[in-house]
Amino acid sequence: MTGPPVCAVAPGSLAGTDPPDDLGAVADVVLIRLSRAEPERFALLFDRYYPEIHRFAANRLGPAAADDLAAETFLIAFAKRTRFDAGDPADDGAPAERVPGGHVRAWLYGIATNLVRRQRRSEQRRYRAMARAPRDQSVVGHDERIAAMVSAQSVHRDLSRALASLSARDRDVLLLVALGELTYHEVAAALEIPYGTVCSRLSRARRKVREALGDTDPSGHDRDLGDL
Amino acid sequence: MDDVRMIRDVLGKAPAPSAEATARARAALLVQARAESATGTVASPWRRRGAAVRKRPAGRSGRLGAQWWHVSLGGLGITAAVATALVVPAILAPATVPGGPDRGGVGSLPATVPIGDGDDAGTVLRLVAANARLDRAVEARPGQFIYRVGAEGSLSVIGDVDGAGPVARVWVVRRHEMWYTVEGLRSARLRITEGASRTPLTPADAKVARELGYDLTAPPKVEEYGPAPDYQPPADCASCPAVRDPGELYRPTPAYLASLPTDPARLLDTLREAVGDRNKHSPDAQVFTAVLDLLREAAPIMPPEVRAALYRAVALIPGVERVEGRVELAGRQGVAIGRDGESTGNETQREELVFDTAGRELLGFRTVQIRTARGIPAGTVAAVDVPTFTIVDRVGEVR
Repeated sequence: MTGPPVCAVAPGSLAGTDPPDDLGAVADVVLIRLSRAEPERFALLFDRYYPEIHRFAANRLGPAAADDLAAETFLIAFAKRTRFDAGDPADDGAPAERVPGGHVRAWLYGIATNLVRRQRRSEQRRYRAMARAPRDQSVVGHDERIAAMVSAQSVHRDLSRALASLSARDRDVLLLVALGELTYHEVAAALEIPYGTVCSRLSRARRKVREALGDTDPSGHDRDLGDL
Repeated sequence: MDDVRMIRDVLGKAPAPSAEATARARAALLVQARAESATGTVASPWRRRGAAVRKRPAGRSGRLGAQWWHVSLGGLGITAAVATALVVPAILAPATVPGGPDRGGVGSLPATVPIGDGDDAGTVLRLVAANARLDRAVEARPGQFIYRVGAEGSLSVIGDVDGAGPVARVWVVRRHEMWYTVEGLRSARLRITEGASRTPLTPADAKVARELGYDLTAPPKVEEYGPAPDYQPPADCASCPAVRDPGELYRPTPAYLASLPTDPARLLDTLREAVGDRNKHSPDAQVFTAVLDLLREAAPIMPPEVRAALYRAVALIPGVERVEGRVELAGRQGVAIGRDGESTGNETQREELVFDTAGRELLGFRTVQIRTARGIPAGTVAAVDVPTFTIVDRVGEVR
């Protein structure tokens, strides 16, 4: 297949839907702008996004590493805030490397992702360790809930193994969508990569995950582009 | 199950960050932010005033009270024998007015960064300015009135203040009510309740006061003053001259306030020019006093951006400092920004504006003794002014 990849978006899917333009998104950009003259304003962005950035980092690296990583994310964002394109008319003629505006939250996820990538080996080790976690031998019985629990444990191991096997780039895209709940456009903005690249990385990552989960549906590959 | 959703459900279970980690991360960020604020607000040596120094018309007092006609402060309830009775306050001018319109609309504001105990004056003023800019402008229709009521407390020292004789220190509270037109801050009525309370600082002061014949239980004396001679009730305010009155620093009409620069440095330049150099005080002292007076009087009709710029301008005045720690004003905790005044005789005081610790409200004003004089130790609060504002429909209406 040649030509640019196409991301088809299934209605109702969590990924790929743009959130409505709500006031919160507008206010983020305004806060960035305000924080240039009044640096303390940036604390409001911290209050708004620190918990989820921390959770994102904790899901990938564990809670202890997340403390430092989330804190550093906001320090970096603060230092870089003048380069964020907040749509301020006063920005005309500002440096060209500004991040295109609007996606403040995605921008923060992008910074956090870059920090996670520095520790990609430990992230990988973590997933491998989770994949090796022994079965809980104390679980005995045929109760439905116990069966579900056993099944969940095995899914957890399988998913971990799949994530450990992904390339760092593919994993970043997949987890920004799955854990950060970013849209494709936001992922593109966060990682500063083209939209099409987001699609191809995501589809590759998802295919591997499905394979690891034992999806042997021969048509699965063809559905890659269509079932999001 | 959608595999993306499955990843979220299975691997997205990290707990929320601990309060301690959150606090540490937030503090680290604020250290950066405040460091940047501090370097951004370095008080440059104040700019030279332009050559065109505007002189105020002769015969008017320098204080904003000038628009009221002279109000006698006699009849303090002191017997004639107490010849050297002396009232300390800097807040003597009867029309020292408004402070806290910052109270309006606070509930709907986004969370703000509270003032930290270690923040310096520049940071404090930046924070309150940032918050002030988010305030809603006070809404008043033409023809309405601003009702300003303030409790002005001041320390009176009675007795032989120049000699070695006994003195009594009495905290006297004066209730000060004013109604003025929204359009041009023209007086409509002034009511002063002198001696609303008289409280000796210590039992010893009470004893001396009695010996000197000072009546601590004298009933409050109410004085009321009508509209200024040139006051016209606005009948048709579309043509109300006050609306278009260009005003000046000492007559801050809405038109004047709207004309002020919202850039702090330019605003300060403008004020320095308007203040001129008419008296013995340094230009810095004068402009600081002028800003405080403007806030006392015109804060309710000031555009929020102008009020924010005023706060920022204060940070640019040399000698402005934060009073360490917290201060108390009218039963509330606050953060004070002050400037030590030049010595006049043996007296030195610091005038302060006091914000609440959240940095959202201007609570009022204090005058603090910074050198021991006449039996008043350094650090004594010599006077306070805690005003509140309400928009009312009629002169005399209290809400």
